[in-house]
Amino acid sequence: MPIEPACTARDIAHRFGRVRVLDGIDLDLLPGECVVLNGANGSGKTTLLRILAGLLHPQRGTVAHANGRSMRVAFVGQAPGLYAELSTIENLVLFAGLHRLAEPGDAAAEALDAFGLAHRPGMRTRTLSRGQQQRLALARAFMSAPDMILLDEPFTALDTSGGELLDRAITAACANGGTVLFAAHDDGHARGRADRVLTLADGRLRSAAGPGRTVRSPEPTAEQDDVAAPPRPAAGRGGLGVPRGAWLIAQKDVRTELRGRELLPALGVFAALCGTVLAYAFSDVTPDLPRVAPGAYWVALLFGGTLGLGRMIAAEVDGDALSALRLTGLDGGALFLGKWAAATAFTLAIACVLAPLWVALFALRPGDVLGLAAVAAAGVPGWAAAGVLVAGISATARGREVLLPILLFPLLLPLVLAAVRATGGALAGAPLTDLGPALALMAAYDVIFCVVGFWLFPVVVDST
Amino acid sequence: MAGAMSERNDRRLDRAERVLAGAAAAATAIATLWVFTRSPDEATLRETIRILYVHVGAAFMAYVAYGITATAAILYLWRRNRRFDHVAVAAAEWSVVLSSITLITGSIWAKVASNWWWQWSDPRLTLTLLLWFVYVGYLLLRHVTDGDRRATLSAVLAVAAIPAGILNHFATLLFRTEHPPPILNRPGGAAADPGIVRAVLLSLVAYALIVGWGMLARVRLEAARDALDEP
Repeated sequence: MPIEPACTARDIAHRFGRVRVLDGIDLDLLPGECVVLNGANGSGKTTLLRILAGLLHPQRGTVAHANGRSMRVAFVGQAPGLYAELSTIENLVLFAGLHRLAEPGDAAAEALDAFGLAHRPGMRTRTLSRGQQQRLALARAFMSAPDMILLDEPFTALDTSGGELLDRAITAACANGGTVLFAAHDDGHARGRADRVLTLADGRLRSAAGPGRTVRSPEPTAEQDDVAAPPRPAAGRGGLGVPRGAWLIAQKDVRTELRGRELLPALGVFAALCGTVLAYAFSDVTPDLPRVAPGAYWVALLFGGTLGLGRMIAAEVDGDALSALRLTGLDGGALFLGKWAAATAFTLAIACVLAPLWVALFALRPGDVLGLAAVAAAGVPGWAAAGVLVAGISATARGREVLLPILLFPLLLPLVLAAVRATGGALAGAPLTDLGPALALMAAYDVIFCVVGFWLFPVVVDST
Repeated sequence: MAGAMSERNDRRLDRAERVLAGAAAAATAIATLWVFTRSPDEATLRETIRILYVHVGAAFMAYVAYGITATAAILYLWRRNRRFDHVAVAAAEWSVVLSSITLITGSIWAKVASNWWWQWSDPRLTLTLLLWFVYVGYLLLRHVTDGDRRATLSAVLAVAAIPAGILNHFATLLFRTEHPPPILNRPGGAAADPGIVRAVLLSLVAYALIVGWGMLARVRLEAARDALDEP
C-alpha cells in the first residue's frame, strides 16, 4: 500500500524581484523519512524550506499536508530565533506553553537534556555561544515532537557532540513517523543520514536515493528497532486560546524587560530630555509654561513610546523568533493583544515617571500629577494599539526606524488632539463634564484601534 | 485563446484611455475658457474667486481618490486579487497630488480672503493634511517593500487610516471652524451666483476626467510592472 505523503508541494515557483529562485518544484515528503536538500549558496534552499513550513506564500503552486489536517511543523532557520534575555529553560517553557504541551517544565527539561544543555537551565541565552544557541533552537524544534521538521543548515556551528545529538534526534523523530528535511550546501552531511538527497539548482529539483538509509514507513521496521524512539509528549492539537496566548506573550515581554532593563530606563530618560528641551525652548517665548505643558507631555510620551514600540516588534522579527511563534499556531490576534498589553504597561510606567517631572519643569501644581497620569491612562491604550499595528507593518521594511513615526503619527492625530485638550482641561481644574467629549473620543479611539489591530495584525504577521 | 482575449482587452483599454484623454483635454479647455470669460467676479473676493475653481475640484476628487484607495484596499485584503492593489496605488498617488493642490490653493485663498495662511482649528484643513501625510506614508511604505508584502502591508495601512480619518473629523469638531461653508451642497440650494456654480461644476467634470484617465493609465502600468515580476 503506498504511503501517503506527509507534505505535498506542487509547481512551486517564487522569485524575488526579477530573480527567479524556484521554478516549478514538485515534492512529496513521506512520513518517517529524512531528506537532505543540497544546493549552492543562493540556490533557494531557505526559500523552499520556508514555503514548505508555511512561513512564506509561494507566488505559484500549492503546499498540502496529509489529509489537509493541521500538522505540527518546526523550522530552524539560520538565525536561532531565541529570546536573548530569557534563560535557556525559560525559552523552552514559553514555547512548550504555546504548543500546549501537558507539562511544559518537564518537556523543556527533557529537550535541554537531549541537546546537552541540561547543566545550563538558568543561563541567559545571550551569554551562550553560537553553537549552544543552535543547540537550544534545535531543542525547541524537536521538543513538541513535530510531524515535520525543517532545518536550514542545522549542523552549522555545532561541534562533533552537538552533531551527534542532532543525528540522534533526527533518527528518533523519523522512527516516530516524523519527516525531517534539512538543507545543506554539500553532500557531506547527507552521508549516513539521508533516505533521499535532493539537489536544488537553477530553481529546479533533482532527486537521488540517499547514501545511508531507505525510506521507512511510519511503523518502525525491524532494522530500526535499535533506535530508541522516545514517547511523544502529550500536546494539545487544538489552537491555543487567544487570552492564554496573549498572556504568555505579554508575560514574556515584561520578563524580558525586567531582566534586561534596557528599554524603560532609556525611554524614560529620552522622554525627560524631550520635556527639558521643550520647557527650555518655550520658556523663552512664553511666561505661561503651564499652558504648553499638555502638548509637551504628549509629544514627549509619544516620541519616547514610539521608539520603544519599534524595539519591541523588532525583537520578534530580527532574530526570526516570529517564525517560531507562528509555527506554534499562536493566533496573530493573541500576539497583538500580548504586545499591546506590554506596550501599554511600559508607556504608562513612563507616563507616571514623567508626571512629577512635568510639575517641576512646567510650573504645575503638585496635585496635577494625578491629572496627567489619569489622562495618560485614558489615551495610552489607543496609542499602543495603533502603534503595535504600525510597528508590525514597518518591521520588515527598509528604513523601518524612520518609517514607523512617519506612518504612525498621522494616525495618532485624533488621539493627540483629544488627549491634549483633556489634559489641558484637567490641569485647569475643569469639571469632568467639560472633559467629556475629549475623553469619549479617546475611549472611542482606544476601542476602535484595539479592534482594528486585533483584526489586521494577523494579516501583517502572515506577510512578515 | 487567452492571449487573443488579452490582446482584445488591451485594445479596448487603449481605446478607453484615448477617449478619456481627449475628453479630459476638451473639458479642461472648456472649463478654463468659461472660468476666464464667462464666470463673474464675486462681490467681496472679486477675481480671486477663480482660485476656487482649482481648489474645490481638487479637494472633491482627492476625497474620491481616498475613498477608492480605502475600498480597493479592503477588497484586496478580502479577495487577494492584485488588480485591487493596482487600483489602490493609482488612487493613492492621485490623492496625494490632488491634496497637495487643495492645501496650496486653499492656503493662498485663505490669505486673500481672511488674511491667514493656515488655521490649526479648522477641521477640514487638519483632516486634509492628516490624509496627505497618511498617503505620503502609504507611498513611502510601498517604496521600501516589494511583492505581495508590499500589497498587503500598504492595504492594511490604508484600512487603518479609515477610522483615523473619521475620528479626526470628530476631534477637530472640538474646536471651532474657520473654513467657509459649502458653496454647492448647502441646505436650501447653492449659495453662489449661477455663473460661479456652473464654473465649479465644469471644473469638477474636468478634474474627474483627468483623474479617470490618469488612473486608468496608472493601473495599466502597475499591472504591466507586476506581470514582469510574475514567476
